[in-house]
Amino acid sequence: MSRALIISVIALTLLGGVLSAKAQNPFIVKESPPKASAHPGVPHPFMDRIGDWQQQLNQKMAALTRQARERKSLRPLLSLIAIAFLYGVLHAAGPGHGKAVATSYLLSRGRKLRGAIFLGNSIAFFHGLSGVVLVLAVHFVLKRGVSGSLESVIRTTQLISYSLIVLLGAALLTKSLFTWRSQTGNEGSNQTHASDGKRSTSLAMALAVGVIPCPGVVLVMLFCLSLNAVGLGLVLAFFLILGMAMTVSAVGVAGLAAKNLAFGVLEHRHRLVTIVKCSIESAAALLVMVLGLLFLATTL
Amino acid sequence: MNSRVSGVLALVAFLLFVSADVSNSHPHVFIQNSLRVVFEQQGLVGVRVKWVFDEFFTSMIVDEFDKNHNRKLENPEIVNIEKSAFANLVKFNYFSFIKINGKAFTVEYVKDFSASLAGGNLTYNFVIPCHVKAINTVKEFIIAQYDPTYYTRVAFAKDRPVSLEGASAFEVRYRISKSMKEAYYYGQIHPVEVILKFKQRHE
Repeated sequence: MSRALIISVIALTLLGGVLSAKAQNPFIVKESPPKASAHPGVPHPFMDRIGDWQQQLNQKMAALTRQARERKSLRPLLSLIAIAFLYGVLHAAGPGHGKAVATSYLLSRGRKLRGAIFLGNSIAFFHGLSGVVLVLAVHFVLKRGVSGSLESVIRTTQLISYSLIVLLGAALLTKSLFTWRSQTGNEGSNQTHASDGKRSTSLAMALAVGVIPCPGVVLVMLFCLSLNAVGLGLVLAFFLILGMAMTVSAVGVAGLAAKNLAFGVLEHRHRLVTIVKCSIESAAALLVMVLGLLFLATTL
Repeated sequence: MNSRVSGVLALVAFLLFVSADVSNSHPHVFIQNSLRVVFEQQGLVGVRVKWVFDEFFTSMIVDEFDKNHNRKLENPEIVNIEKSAFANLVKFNYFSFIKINGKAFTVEYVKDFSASLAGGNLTYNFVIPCHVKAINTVKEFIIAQYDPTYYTRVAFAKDRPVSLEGASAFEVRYRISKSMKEAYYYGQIHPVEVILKFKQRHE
């Protein structure tokens, strides 16, 4: 049963990843749009409402930023910070933002929640930072309009990001296959994975996923630049990123919890646990690689 | 037992997030649309569309296209906007989906594009030409506006989302409702439609 569950989780994750790779600005991007609407699907109960909330928060954020700027007062700043944070949480609840890859990655690794939180935060951080750097660089260094450059930069970073994801996936898969051999040979051993807690691999993963600039952060930065309020933009971007970090981490933690739950059910059957664990980890590593390849295919 | 319950909860939360992952829930651009359905002697001739954008997208367009930075859009700037930040929407049917008596009418052409910066928000105006002759029996005209990729969220303006022009010679009735039959973005969101019924008024 748990296996069916894991498979469906992975299938859903895969689908999410593929679809999210196609999000591009329809006003500007010259390529043809993805063929939509032919896909069957289940209406998502919250999707419309989340969109509505985002629209309201978006308006509120714009109005408050304007106020903070015009009155030079710090009063609106507190609510502004809260709104930016909330907007970040909702924003990252959408597709993309590396959740699919991050979850697969976490499933392919150990069972530590700390690792999930670290990865989620790092992804959100790089994703947002990349947006901030992009806007500042294009605006102050190149002194050009951002919207045109944005699309090409996103494309380039996508290519880099997806290639890195494929490589990392391949590395994880190789590693997991080695673990598979040593673990199944060593029946019932309860040793924890050596792969647990390797911060550098997590950082590499976060960088690979997060190098694509976050369009939400880009838009907020641009808006603040148009009001001549760079500092305010940086503050807002920071809290947006913090909000996104929350969501991405939560997804990672939930994914890990699901994995741990599956093992909890099988607690007393060590051999089965080992086999299932190894299969999940290999499958998840393979998934990281496949996701990277699929992203690449949709971008090229 | 407790840990199992929390495990199940975590799993549910995870599934929700993952399925949220499927849809492009992060709209980056927000449009408040209002539609003015235009009639002439023969019947319905088209729809005047007004899109008011959020301030963030507005600042992106201003940053790129308001070349003289006077926070006003002059003609050459508008021509540029049309070319670089509107014309591409033809591939998306200008986010406009029309059905006449149940049959789809594909929007491939719009006219009279203009852009302005009223009250801090970028506004697009354009007309979708679509001729439907009024007769003695009721005809049904349905229009929904949405971005199939959900990069943009299009939602009806709170204030006068739909209005009529030159309709006095006809019996026209309309309502705005969510279509439960249709769904976009991988079947996750139901579009909101204007369902308009009209016929020749009896003398």
